[in-house]
Amino acid sequence: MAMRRSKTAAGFRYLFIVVALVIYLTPIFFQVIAGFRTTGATYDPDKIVNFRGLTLETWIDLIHHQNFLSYLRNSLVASVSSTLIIMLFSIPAAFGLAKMPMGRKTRANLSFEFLSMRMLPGIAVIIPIFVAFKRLGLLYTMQGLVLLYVVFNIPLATWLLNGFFKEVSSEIGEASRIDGCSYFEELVRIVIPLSGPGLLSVTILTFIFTWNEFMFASVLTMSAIRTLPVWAAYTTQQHYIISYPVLGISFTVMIVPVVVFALTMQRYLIRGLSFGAVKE
Amino acid sequence: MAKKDRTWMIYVFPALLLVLLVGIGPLLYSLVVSTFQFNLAKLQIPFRFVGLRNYARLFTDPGFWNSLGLTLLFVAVSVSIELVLGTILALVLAEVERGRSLFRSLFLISMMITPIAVGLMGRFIFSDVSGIVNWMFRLLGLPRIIWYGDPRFALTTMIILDVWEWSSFVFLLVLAGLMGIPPEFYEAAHVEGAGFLARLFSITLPTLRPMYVLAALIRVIDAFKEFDKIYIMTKGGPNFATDLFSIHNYMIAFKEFNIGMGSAMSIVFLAMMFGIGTLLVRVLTREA
Repeated sequence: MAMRRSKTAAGFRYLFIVVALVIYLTPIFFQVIAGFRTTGATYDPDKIVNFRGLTLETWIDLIHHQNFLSYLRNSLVASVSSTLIIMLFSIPAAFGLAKMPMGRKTRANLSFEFLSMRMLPGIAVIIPIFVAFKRLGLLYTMQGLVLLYVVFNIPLATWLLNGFFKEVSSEIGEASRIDGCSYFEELVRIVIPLSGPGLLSVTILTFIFTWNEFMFASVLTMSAIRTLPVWAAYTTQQHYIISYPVLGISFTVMIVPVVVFALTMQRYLIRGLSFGAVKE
Repeated sequence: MAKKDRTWMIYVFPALLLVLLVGIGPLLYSLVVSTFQFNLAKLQIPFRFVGLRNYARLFTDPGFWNSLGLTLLFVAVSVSIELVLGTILALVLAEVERGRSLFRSLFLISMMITPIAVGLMGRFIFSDVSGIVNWMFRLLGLPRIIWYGDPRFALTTMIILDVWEWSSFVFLLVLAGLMGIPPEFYEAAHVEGAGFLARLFSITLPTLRPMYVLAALIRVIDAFKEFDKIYIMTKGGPNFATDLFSIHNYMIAFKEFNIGMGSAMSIVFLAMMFGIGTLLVRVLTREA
């Protein structure tokens, strides 16, 4: 009796999850498939759930006739280069915070400092940056955008890496220092090799944050160096009739890397998104 | 006394200085500029010191109060629904062993994908003629709604999208918390014959309090800063129905190019975020 009841309960649970997932994934499905339809079909109220006549027309059109690929390249350049520079600065900073001797109070204050930078509203940063970049000739340049991405994302990367580095046992490092090993050697020979998954997950999160960023890019980029999200926003304003297939394709291209990472590295991403609070 | 080891500075300072340079520097600049009359679009208006006049104009502007009210409403409603939905999902999934990892990955997608992409999707699914939402409504015999084009429904549309995007954040945090509750906590309650609700309110939720504090704080801060989805869907319209704080501030600064007023509003924004941001940072650093 009890057995049968628990089986029914399990059945209901799966039913609930499946229904929730269908509701949750349906919008994504419709948006992706829109990229393979004709503009006419996406405006036809009788063809909302009728997908006959799927076509690659808009994809081919975008790749050949517009600068779509160059916007994709801009997005990649901005994200990859800022991610690399962020890691270059954050790894030593996080190592210092996690492993090196300093006053307790100093350590707490520094962590606080790094983390609170992450709470700044973007709009409060971008207004003065806009004026400053205009003066310095950095406005509408890729260097300017990367510089801002680097600075704005160092705090979270450092905070998360700090959490990963702390989990590496300090004993090996201390023992090696007695043998005349420097801090730098400890970082390179012990801490970095032992926190591989942590480094990978912070790298990927940083990539995603910069890849997804819109507000800064919308102010700091123009024509040739637009990133994908900025270009997508721009197209929706350029034409009186929006092309849903084009929006569908921009959607698909923007979410591909993110979906791949979500499916392969979920644990680490959850940790990163909760500011390191969820550890599994 | 032995000389203090200050080697850590070599490691920490490059990152710290960079962050302070572009973090604190601009804020000080904003603070100064917010007391100036400064418009980049109208160069005939001279750049001059006006004291607190920008702030006075801001606080007497109905548009400012409208955006503040809308933002508070948006934050309160979205975050509350997300907390409830996330909890329900987590309670159901905690009991499911097979496929849990896959479900978690799938629910991770909405919160990780580009917010602009979420906005693009919103434009299509909520489109009044050919959107899937209105198609469902027709199927159910409900009236056709002009979702984000009608001032009465625009904010609701944004809330629905935000709930779609972020409920799974609460879900993932609560699920992680649930996995961490030792089974012994429930055994005693089981012996006493406590029902589901009794267990939920006397054991589960109180034990998960820290998780909820964290989830709520992160969500409130991010919802308060909401910008991307609204920008791409309505730009604050129709008739200022979705004119949230960030959008209003952005329009002053980058549509009117009124840098003085824009800076003043961003300083007010910062002051409001400061309290709640500090609270979150406290919670996070205490655990570490």
